[in-house]
Amino acid sequence: MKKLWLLLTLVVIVASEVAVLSSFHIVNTNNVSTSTWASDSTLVVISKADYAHLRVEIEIVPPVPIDQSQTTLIFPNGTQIEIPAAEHYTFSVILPSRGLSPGSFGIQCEGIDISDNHPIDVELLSNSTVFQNLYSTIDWAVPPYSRISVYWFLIQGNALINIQGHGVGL
Amino acid sequence: MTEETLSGKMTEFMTALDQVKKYRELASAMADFTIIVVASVAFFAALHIIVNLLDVFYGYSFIDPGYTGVLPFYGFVVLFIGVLMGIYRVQRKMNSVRLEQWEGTLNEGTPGALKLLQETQWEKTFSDIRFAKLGFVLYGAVKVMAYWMLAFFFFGILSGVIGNIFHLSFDPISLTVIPLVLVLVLSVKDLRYRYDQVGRLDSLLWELRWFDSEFRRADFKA
Repeated sequence: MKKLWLLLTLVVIVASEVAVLSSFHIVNTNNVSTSTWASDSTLVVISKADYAHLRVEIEIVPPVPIDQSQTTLIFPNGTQIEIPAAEHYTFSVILPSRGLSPGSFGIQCEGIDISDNHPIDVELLSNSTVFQNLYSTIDWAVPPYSRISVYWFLIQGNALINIQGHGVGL
Repeated sequence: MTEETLSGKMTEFMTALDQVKKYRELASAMADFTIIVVASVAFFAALHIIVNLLDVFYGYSFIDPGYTGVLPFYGFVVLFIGVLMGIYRVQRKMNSVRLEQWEGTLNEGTPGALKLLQETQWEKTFSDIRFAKLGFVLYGAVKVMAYWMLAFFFFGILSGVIGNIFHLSFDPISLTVIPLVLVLVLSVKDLRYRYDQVGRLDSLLWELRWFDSEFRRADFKA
């Protein structure tokens, strides 16, 4: 009988572990694979549901220069970073969890595709103005937008972009 | 019936009871086997959770994102060790059964044979045979499932290698069905042996029931 109880406990543990494992997600961008060639002006939009924790590793490699073109990173606060040609510029974006958030929801708009089944998202947009206009007009304090976190940055110029993102929605 | 014939029949009977004892131990060891295999699955899942958490919170990319949905190699190793430990446990338990302890008594001749028959707890023996039968079947099924799990993991890794080299990908149904069929094909001999043994245990049960009733009647007449 003791063995049966032990077996039942183990089965419950395995079932719980499988449930926890289902909360891990990898970035699966709609428009890009994990390695993409960006040209001219590319907006990278990183978004997640408020209950998810997201870590995105970004590597930007400008091409070897054949002309005077430059690759510049522009962040929302106005900071600009020029990346020297052929240099591997790497940084991480971490959007931490904001705690429990009961109830299901979903948001699909330019640059954002978040739902309970897909709580983390990274998208590359070649036309940055549509998203930037949308971003400035949305009231982020009102649901459902208050239930997501969004971060973006702009890449001016040509570059190879590698994106690897892992998240957990607990 | 001569003493020699009686001794021969009794040896046959006690050997069959020894076999039942072994199978009974196998039935109880089956629970241990299942616990060990499920515990190794729990350990593997816990390891997978820890690796994922380290990946998400600290950026240690232990897992290639392309393979997170498939089967990591360490899972195969953990399960393999779990199944091996389970089989070892079953073997050890079965080997711990003391056999042929009746040999000395039987060497005494007819009085020894009668003593053995009188000491036999018939109801317990019948219950042991039924339990052994159930355990024998269930252990076979659990073993096939454990091998299937291992084969599934092995095929997951193999499909990853094939995908990398030949750019071919298997669908999840093939990845599940092919290992099952393979395990069933490889286990056919074992399954047939189990089927035959269960039949033998059945007939042993009926023969013993008949013998028990005859023995009681003879005892009553005496």
